[in-house]
Amino acid sequence: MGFFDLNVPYDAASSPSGKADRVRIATKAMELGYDGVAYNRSMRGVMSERDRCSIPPLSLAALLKVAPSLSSSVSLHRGLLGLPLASAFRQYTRLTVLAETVAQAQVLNSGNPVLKTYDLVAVRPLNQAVFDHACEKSEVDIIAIDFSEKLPFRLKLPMVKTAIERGVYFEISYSSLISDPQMRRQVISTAKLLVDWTRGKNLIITSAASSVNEIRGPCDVANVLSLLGISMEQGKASISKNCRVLIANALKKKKFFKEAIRVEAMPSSERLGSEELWSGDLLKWDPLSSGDGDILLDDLKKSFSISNKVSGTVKAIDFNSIINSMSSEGFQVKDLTYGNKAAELSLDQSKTLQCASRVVSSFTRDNESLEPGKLDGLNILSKQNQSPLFGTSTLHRMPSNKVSEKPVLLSEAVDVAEDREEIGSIKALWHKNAVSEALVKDAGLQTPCCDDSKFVVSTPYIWDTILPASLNRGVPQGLDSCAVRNGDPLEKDQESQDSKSAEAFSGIHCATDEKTMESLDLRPREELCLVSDNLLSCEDVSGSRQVREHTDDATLCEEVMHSSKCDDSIELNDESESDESLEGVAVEPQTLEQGDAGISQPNLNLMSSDEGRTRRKLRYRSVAFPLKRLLSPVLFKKKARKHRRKF
Amino acid sequence: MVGFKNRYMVMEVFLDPNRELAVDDPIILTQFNVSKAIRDSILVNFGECGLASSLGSFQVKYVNPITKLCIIRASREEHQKVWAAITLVTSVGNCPVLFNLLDLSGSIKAGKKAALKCDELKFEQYKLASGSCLSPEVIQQMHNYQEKIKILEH
Repeated sequence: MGFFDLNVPYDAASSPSGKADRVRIATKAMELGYDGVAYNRSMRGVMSERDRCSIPPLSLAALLKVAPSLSSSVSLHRGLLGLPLASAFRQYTRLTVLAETVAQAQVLNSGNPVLKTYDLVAVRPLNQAVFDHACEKSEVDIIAIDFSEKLPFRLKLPMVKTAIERGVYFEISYSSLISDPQMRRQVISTAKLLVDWTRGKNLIITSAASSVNEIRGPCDVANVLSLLGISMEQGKASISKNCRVLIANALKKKKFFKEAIRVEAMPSSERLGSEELWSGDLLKWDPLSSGDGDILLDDLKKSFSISNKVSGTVKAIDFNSIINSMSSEGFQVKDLTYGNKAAELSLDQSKTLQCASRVVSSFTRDNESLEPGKLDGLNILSKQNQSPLFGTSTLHRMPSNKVSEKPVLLSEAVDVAEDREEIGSIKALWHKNAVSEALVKDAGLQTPCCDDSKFVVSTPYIWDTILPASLNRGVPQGLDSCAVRNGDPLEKDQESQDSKSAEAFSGIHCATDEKTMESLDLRPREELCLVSDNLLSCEDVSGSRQVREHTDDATLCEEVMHSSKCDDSIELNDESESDESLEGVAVEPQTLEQGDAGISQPNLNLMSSDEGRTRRKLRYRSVAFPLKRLLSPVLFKKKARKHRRKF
Repeated sequence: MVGFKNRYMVMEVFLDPNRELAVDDPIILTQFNVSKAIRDSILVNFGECGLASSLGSFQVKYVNPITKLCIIRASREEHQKVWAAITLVTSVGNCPVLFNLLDLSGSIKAGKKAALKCDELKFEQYKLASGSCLSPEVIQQMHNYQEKIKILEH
């Protein structure tokens, strides 16, 4: 819960004394316990290329020159404020555009390249029309209003409300309160109006201090604002929490594609794919870092070494340049060079994936500790665990055996409407075993999950890798028979058969495709339901019934025996036996559990087949339609029966 | 029962933040000039009535010119106003200053404890800043001041 001062004026053309002022202000802010400052540059008039960000962040050395006892002072104040002693002091860059006409305000949109060079963008409206435009449409982070003069426009409640809903913050500067007694009157009366309209929300307080005398400690500032009608709690929030949220959002917009993926350029000498990097990188993402300008204050020596290494950081690269450099076909699966026959086969069938990002791990753990600002794509993995795969963009690492010189390309599904192939490949990427990956991918590339299951059943390899959901579900026997017959790992035959049955069911499964695929990947429990839906749809198809009838249990048994590794096939066999009963209500819970295990995410499927075997043996009674009860949903089984008996 | 409830603020003062290092203190802090500066600030910002209502319990209890630490007492009802006024103080005498609150407590005992701790830390910084020219008198004075803190009564 750090404190930020987001307005330290910076003047590009200032004299050396001006520069010295900036150093002093930054030092003072750090001493007083602030966690970060933003150097603010104002500009007026027409924006041009010359207005790109050229604000140099200050180095620790410069700060230490001004205040040699900086670290002890900082630790004293941070201790008193209850802040962690070793958190970095951050520097951001900010641009304030003084807009006089609506045309100037319209420049402030997300396509403006000059704005992208700054961390924060603020607009200072000078008349009513510009203010309205700024509240409603401008892509800015902050609306800064100069309260020291009588406002030339009115603050209207609907406008203010719109701005708050959009996530724009209003800024109040307190330096005019401190410096000039005459101005105090004006500031307090106009700022009070803003506070009333916003009710304290979406406000940030900044210093706009032109000299060191005008900066104050964070608690003091919060207290002075109580004069404006902001409660102490809101005041403290406006100088800490609101600033933090604002910075995090602004940096997300600037550096992430669609606010979820960070793209980094990876130096070719970097080591890839090492498993160690995963967890280390995950935890090191720093949402408030602007990439450089973070000053750590551990001890003097260390801090000096850190500041030297800052230059070695990897910057986030502009996503658009990546997209433009990609081939028109987008990301090809073959780029992944699995070198596997199955993969090649799948390539033929697969569409090209739409590449959304190129995510690479850019640094080893050694560098990490010194450069907290570095982001790794993996941090998104943590997000992924919490949200559906296809809801947000997520990133995957290349499997360990894919160390290659060229940058790692990972498939990325941005669009919610995924293709199976994409799903398959994403599933594949989770695996450590390339073979299994390829096969799984291949499996995924086949038609829907039912097919997936049977494909997997037949191939011994895939046993160890994926226990497909639908497999244990009592897939319609027709499919099973096809699958089981291919007990030997004859992929070609299998595939041909698969394709045949695939055709039969393609029509059915299209609708449930995406859904089932989604569920397969993510949530075991939910997957069950969706898979069951899929299965039910399978069941409902008359074709499946016919095929089932045609099967010869005996042949099934034989073939099952052939495939020694196909443990699940035994289960299928049993399933086929009990299939006749068609009532699997009692066994449903078991099968559900079993399905749970089966559907367990690909990266968990390295659960030993031994476990699975014992579990499966217990479930001989698993039936073809374990989830048939879902056809006619009732609240509780028992109650339903009672009702039925009564009526 | 105690009728009067007070707040004790431990504040540090930064004298002339703009000055270069290794320059001596422009002025010496005393209870008198700190108190005067604060009262002027209350008068300007809150008017006669504001000054009158806060003057009842307002007192600068302790000032340490070496470490620039102060303990200021104000009544519980008025302490926020007094604190705001203190923040808005721009100069003591003709020296620009910067007040910064370190601790706010309801009893003199807690205030004393906080003041002792901050005093120690600030004295460490002072020693670092002054380097080698640390005369034994200064140390003796520090000692005296610390005794003073311990004697403080409400």
